Amino acid sequence: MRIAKRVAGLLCAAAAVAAAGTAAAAEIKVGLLSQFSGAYTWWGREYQRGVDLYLAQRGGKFGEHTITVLSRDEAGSNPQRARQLSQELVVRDKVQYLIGGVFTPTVLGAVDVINQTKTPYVILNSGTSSVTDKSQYYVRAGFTQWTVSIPLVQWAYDQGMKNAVVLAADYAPGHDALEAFGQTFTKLGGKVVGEIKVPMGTTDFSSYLQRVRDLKPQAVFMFMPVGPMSAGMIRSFKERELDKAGITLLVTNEAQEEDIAPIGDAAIGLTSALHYSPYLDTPLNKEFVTAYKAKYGKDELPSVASVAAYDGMRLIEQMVRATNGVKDGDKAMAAIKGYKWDSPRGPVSIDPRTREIVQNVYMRKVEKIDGKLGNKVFHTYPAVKDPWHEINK
Amino acid sequence: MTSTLATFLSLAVDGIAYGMTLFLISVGLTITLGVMRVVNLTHSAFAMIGGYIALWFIQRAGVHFFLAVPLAVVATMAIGALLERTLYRWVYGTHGLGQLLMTIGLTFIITAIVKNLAGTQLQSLPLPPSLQGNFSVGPLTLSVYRAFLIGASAVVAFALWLGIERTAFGARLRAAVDNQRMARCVGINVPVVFSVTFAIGCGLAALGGALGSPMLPLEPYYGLKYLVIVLIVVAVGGLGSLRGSLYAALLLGLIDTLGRYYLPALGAFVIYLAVLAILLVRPRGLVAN
Amino acid sequence: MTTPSLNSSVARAFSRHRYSLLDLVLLGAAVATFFLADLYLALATAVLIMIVFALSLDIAQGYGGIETLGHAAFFGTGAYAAGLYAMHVSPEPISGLFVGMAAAAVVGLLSGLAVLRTAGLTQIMLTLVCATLLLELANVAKPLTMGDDGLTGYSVAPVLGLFQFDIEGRTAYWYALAVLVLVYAFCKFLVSSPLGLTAQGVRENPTRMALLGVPVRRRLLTLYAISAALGGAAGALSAQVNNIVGLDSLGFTMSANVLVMLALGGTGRLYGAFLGAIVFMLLADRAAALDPTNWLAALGVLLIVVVRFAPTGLSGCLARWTSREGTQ
Repeated sequence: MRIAKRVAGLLCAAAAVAAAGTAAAAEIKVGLLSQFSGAYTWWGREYQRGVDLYLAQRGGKFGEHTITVLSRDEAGSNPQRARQLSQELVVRDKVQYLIGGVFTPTVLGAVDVINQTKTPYVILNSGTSSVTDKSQYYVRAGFTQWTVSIPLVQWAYDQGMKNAVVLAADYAPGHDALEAFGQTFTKLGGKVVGEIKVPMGTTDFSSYLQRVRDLKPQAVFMFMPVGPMSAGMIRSFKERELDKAGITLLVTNEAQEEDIAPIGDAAIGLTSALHYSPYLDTPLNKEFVTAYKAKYGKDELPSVASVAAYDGMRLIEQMVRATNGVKDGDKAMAAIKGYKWDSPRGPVSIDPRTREIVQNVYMRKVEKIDGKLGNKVFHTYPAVKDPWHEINK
Repeated sequence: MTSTLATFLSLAVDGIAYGMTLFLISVGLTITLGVMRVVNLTHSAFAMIGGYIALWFIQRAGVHFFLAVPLAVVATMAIGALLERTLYRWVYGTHGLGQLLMTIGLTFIITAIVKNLAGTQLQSLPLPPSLQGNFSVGPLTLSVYRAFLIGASAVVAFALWLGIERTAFGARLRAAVDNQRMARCVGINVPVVFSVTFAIGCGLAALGGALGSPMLPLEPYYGLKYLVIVLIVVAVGGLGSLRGSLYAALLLGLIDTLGRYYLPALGAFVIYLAVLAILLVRPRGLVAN
Repeated sequence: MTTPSLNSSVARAFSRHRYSLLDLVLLGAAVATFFLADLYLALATAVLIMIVFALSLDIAQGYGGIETLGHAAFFGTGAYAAGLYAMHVSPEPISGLFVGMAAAAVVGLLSGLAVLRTAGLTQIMLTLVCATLLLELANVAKPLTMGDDGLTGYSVAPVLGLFQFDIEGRTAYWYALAVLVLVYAFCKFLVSSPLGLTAQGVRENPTRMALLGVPVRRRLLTLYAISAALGGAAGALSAQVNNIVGLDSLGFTMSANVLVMLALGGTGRLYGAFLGAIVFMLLADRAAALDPTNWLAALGVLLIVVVRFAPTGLSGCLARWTSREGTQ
């Protein structure tokens, strides 16, 4: 009986303390959702860095409003947890804005919460185009798979590659990529000679690369989740000397600096299309990289994740100024539709119809820059609108 | 030789190489499971530890590949022996669930330690020049590394068989497995036999982890990621059977590689369906004890 | 101040599965949580759902002796069935709950036919394989389940036509609590029923039970199917309360988590499910907030400590403690 009473008492005490802690404050709170544990911790670190850098440059305030960022760990691809976190952030912690999201299911987990409470959510990752259609309070500051895939295919076709294999991991973003690659290439006049789906978690790519060899394409458009699958595939591709057989491997975000380092020199020459490279040669990006290195270490480099977080905070600043610090989801969303600004990744704007970000896509090649592997930009496709939304108007 | 035959043979070699890696990593577990009846879910974590230690020797201590790997094996054996003397003793007599949970807990701790020490980046052992590149056998192109892997695993399998069937230690081991009480009566020091066996099991895992790292890259979550496939090899092979785990590893490696090529629509289904079928037909494994 | 009669009533509750003061206290704590922790209802509802799930596992593992690493198969089946039902047939929640339970029971029957022919490591592996096959199936059936984007776009109608699911999570909490109370009452009834008692007998000594004329396989299969249905109830609740179903509801982490919860709490006592789920979920939530990267290590240490010092779990400790005091 004593134990039971004690347990019940503890529960009540804990609950009371929690209930008391929600005194109203004059500051504006922003909820950051990312991965801070598990295999995707890199995303959490990068989002936090982008957010912190932006706030530090503004002295922690947007106008006269002090901004506090509450970071929460999505802990894997768990939409139920994402929903719980976003509900707690909005209802308990009274955040006015949500920012972040690493996977599509975790972004979608919040959809009920943001619809019912009219809370704007700035999406920083999740390359699935249809997500922004699920709620009018979603705005994207990252990128979609379609946005970077179309220019890649266009470039390949323009180089004279007329037949290709599309290869992707067997999960939803991979299927998106297969569709994006395949449809576009065929529309341009190219021939897709094979479509290969690689199950998630595959470690031995022998069978798939054998099939690629048998199909004898000029190009392979690849999409893999960043991690062992991407590194393994790129390395095996080189080891089997498929490049010497005249096949060009073309990728998008698999060539990020963070991920090609473990692949080593086998990655040199890898061609990719992405909306950012830390080696992008513009004054604004150079400033950004310098500030990033000054704050986080001279060997550190920003990435698509930190740039997205940085730009995401810019969007939130715009929304805070437009609503004068008062929570008004509809006013905030109206303020950023059509909003244009200069980002480290180039000139960007928010498409008023789809709430997608319109940005440049760069063709890059992996080279050794200052002793490290990096992506050098050699061609720009300006102001690319999310093609999926253009096709599915 | 037709191109389809060449493709098939090439895939078969790949499947065997993959299967041999699985064998190396799993054989230690089947031995400890069969001998000590401890469900050791930390086994794949020992493979990871072996890989990371070898990597450290090569990268930080400048040791050559062919020396770093044996050193890593010895180091992992020492770690395994230490853990066996301390933690594993606690769960020897207990229910299977207790062993499962303790070893899973240990895996979690090892994962966190490795994450803090080595970071979350993928790593693999850099191959020495003698193991790089490809060579041709007729119309087939094989990688030197894979050929080495198959050869090394075959040598290990043979050495194990010799050790168990032909040496005095092996005889003591077999006695301890067949009838522990009787073995004690005739003066066999069973706890020492168990400790040595466990250490050998960990060493084998370390070998598999280090040599297999180009195929199965090292990362902190390695221990949890490859646990399932290792358990499957052991269950399908039959607990405690060396031959069984060799057959199971080769079979599963071949089915997986060939299945992914010839039945791509089924993808990952193939191997799980195969396992389901095998376990339904032979619940005690391919070579039941 | 101890009252010997109350203490011994708690001790009796542990040993003879009658309703006791401890049940009332738990119910009281649940009600109190609603009023005092009204900003934490999302977490509290998740805890209630996990208790239901852990109870279902206890029926199979603690009482039936069926070792499983694939229990998420039933949670996920119930979740997807309830979600798809709400999306395509009717958003009515209570019928959705039964649909989830029925679907999970069917999966339990079918997989039980395979799994229950084996024992030990093979049994564990088969349960794992079955769960993985279901996961792959859900992934491949993307047009139906929306694959790993997660099943979204459905909403659930008010419970009994009266109680709307609100953003503060009040309706969800009472709904989950009501289901938990019913599930718990059913479990209490089950474990003292002939089916439950013979299953425990089978767990202890299958040969003897067979010799006594008990149809061992059929009993275990029935128990397994019931356990599956209860797991499906937990999954259906999750789908209805969160309006999203992810592939992780069929995943290995879900199976492993519920196993850890039950191990922490202790098997074979029903209370173990409560203690284990509450401790695990609260720790996970708080630890994740404090130090997400090392939460895993802390859990590992906790597991080892529990195995070494409290092999019968927290409920085992509690039972020993109270029975000792009761006999003073």
